[in-house]
Amino acid sequence: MAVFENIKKSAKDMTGLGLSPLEHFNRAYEKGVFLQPPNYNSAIKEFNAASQGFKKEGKTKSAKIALANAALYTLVNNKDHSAVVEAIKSLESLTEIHRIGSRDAKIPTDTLITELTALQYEYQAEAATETMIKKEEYSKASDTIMKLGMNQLNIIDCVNSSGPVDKALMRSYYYGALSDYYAALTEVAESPENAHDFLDKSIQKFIQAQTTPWVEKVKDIREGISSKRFCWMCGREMQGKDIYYQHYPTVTKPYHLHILEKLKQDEKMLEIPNNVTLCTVCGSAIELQADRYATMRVEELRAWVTPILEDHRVAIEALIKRVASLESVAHQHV
Amino acid sequence: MDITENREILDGLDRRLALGEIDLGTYNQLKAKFSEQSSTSKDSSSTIVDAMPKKARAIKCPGCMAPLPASTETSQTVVCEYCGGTFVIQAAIDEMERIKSDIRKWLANIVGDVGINTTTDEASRRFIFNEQLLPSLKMEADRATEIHNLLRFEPLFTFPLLNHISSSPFHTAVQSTLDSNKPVDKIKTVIARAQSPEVGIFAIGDKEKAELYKLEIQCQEAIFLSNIRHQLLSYTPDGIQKAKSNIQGLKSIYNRLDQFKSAIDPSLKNFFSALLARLNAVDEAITILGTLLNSPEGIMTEHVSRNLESAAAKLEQAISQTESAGREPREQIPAVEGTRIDAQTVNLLAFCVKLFAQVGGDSGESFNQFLESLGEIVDYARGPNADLQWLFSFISYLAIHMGHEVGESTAIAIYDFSWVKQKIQGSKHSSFLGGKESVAAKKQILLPFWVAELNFSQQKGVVFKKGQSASSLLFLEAARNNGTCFAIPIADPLSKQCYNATTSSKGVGQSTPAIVPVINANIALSQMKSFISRTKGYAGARVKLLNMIYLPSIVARYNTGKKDRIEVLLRSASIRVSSFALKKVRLGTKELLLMQ
Repeated sequence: MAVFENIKKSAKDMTGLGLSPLEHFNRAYEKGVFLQPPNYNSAIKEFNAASQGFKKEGKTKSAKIALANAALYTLVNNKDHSAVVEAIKSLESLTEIHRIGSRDAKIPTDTLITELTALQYEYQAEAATETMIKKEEYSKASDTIMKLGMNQLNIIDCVNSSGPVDKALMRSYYYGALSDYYAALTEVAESPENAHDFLDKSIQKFIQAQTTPWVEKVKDIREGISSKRFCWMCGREMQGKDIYYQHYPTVTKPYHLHILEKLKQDEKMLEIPNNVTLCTVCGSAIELQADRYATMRVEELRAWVTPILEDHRVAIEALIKRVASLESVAHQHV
Repeated sequence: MDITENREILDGLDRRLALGEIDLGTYNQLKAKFSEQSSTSKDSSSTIVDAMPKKARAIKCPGCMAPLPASTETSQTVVCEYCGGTFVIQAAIDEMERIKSDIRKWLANIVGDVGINTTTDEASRRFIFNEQLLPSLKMEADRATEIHNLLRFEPLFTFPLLNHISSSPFHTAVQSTLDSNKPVDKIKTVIARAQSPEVGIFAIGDKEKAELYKLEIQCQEAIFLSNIRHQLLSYTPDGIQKAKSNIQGLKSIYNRLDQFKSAIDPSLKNFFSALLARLNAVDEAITILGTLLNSPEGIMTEHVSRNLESAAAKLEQAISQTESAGREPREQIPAVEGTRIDAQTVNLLAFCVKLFAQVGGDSGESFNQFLESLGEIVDYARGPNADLQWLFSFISYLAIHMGHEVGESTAIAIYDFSWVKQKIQGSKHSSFLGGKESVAAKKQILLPFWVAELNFSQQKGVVFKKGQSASSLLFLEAARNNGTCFAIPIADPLSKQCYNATTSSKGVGQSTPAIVPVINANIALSQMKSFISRTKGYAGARVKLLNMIYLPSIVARYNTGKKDRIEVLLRSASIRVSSFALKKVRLGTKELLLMQ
């Protein structure tokens, strides 16, 4: 009898057939979460099977827990926005849930929902194409996760590797810094001065979040945005390197610098040898006009050369025919 | 009637016309009359200039435009107390003349002969100032201080120990202002123009005067700040004195802003008041540093460290003042950040003074010698990215470590060496040719490790895979920067000992020598995570840093008669520390052990 039970158990274990809801639940860990590397698809399948089984048995709470686990591991597996929404929904009626990667440790759902809500805003920010929306979504994410203070994060490190993933407060600074960064990118179209302010705020928060590469990146952008140059052509002062003014290749000699010195004009217009600063309006006007002339010239050339090429094509075809007929005559004589 | 009265009458006519008190005809008639009188008199703006206080035309340093000490002897050589440049007075006079002539040419270019040798009414001068002179000066000031503006609020305080780390914001600021001859020339030009009486007569109202003064501050500040950093970095008595002179110079130009308080934004006034508070605190810290570095004998460590802590507290107050000043983030944020780093650095110096006391500061060794020894230790211990944060934590570890040795502080440590005999025997090698090894020497040492709880999953089976959750303790070597981690099962006897040890801490290094840790908690956590991510079998694992713990170890030298072999043995076979050399370093009266 014992042998039969063992065989039955082994068969169930191997095939996964005929399992009780609790066995499905455990199998989700053993055949999914705890594998190296984890097989989350298998875990999700087993959690869903466990949930349906519990439901049939009338164990509503267990069914909800299994379903919430399925939703959480779907999020860990897919790392997308819709999975976050589902995970939040599935957690709302529960007070605690298993910690990701553990069958024994449990965490309160209210803090997890807060973390997931912040993650939801982060995904919305990442998906947005407009910097204004990115700014707002990251700001919401920052405000949301700030509520968790110095608490340890539970799920963000499983779905996101960029930025700080240990403490909620650090993550809040990181989101806040990104919000200010995108605010600067939004604002630069209106006012480089305001953009400069936002970049400073962003740098401060990135420092607090201890994300050094971002600090360096934003400092470089700030350096560009804060610099001002006069346009060689229109004489207007512009703020924002590579945004509102650029260096264009040209021919310069020391004489040109002397002229600027003599006229008390901005010598930095010629700070790079054989380059001159032009505002983007003048620079792009030249580029677009040059492009227009080039297109016109190409069209003129095309109009001129097309009939000539057509004549050549006809002539070549006639020659090919003649050569072919000569070859056939020559073959007959051989 | 002298020219000043005449000008006042003309200015008064402008005002009365503007207020509608006189008609245009009367205005033109009176203006013609007084202008004629004015042109026949000796009047010119140069007369006004002549009437200006001598101070405005004082001889300035040709290097940095700071005032030079008064001297009547033109052949006398003077040293600028701000930048350290040496000049013959005549050369400085010549340079001033050149600058004055340059100013006249510049003015003639911009405004023609207006204001130089003619009488121009107040409204016209104001117009010329706002529309021509100020924009031109502003552009020149902005360009000249472009690099300096990015470094304006960077740290102002450092001390020799910071030379031993790979990067510090202070050193970055100094390096960024090295090749600055041409910009300094440009800055000098703007200062000379902004200070010149010839330009001053165009700045009619308080608002205009304030605008002109702000440009002067912008440029002078750049020079003073650059001088403070460069001079302080020499750490010589002379350099420190010059750094202090530059602080005084900077404070005086900030203070003079009060003259224009009715014409400036109150937030700017508050901001400069916060900057003054920062300068005062930095000045205090530099004074103390000067005493520390230049006292050949011992110092009153408790008194000095308390004063330094007080300076750091004042810097913290300056941060609050800066935050509440109401300036734009582009000024407020860098100023707060720079002051915060200054406060950290001053606190670090205070910490070093305490450490000096701990290692026998009253034994006759100078603080300078102590810092040199400490610097050598830092060179030895630092990792590739050692920064201010790391330095702070390392000095803390040193202090705690030495506190352990004298029983002033405790640490988590295991002292169980009962396993040694068996382990040493078990680790002997024997070979057919070499024979069996004998133990030539052995030494008990306490090794510092960071310990963390590691939760992960284990997999069994090849075809029918099955996983289960597992836990381990993860150890990271804390005495060297090699990022080596070891995981030991919870069932390992060492794990139990570790958990038991965390319940009570002990003195370390008294009976058994202990090695100084060099890895801080942040680096430890990051290295542990890196280990997990690159090690197969730990996918999805979680790590929770617990504490630093000193583990008992044996450094054994095995010998076969032909060759020696050194092995480091710990109780758990899972911890296999590669062999190392010990470096004994002396810090004051104490001896420290570092791992090589």
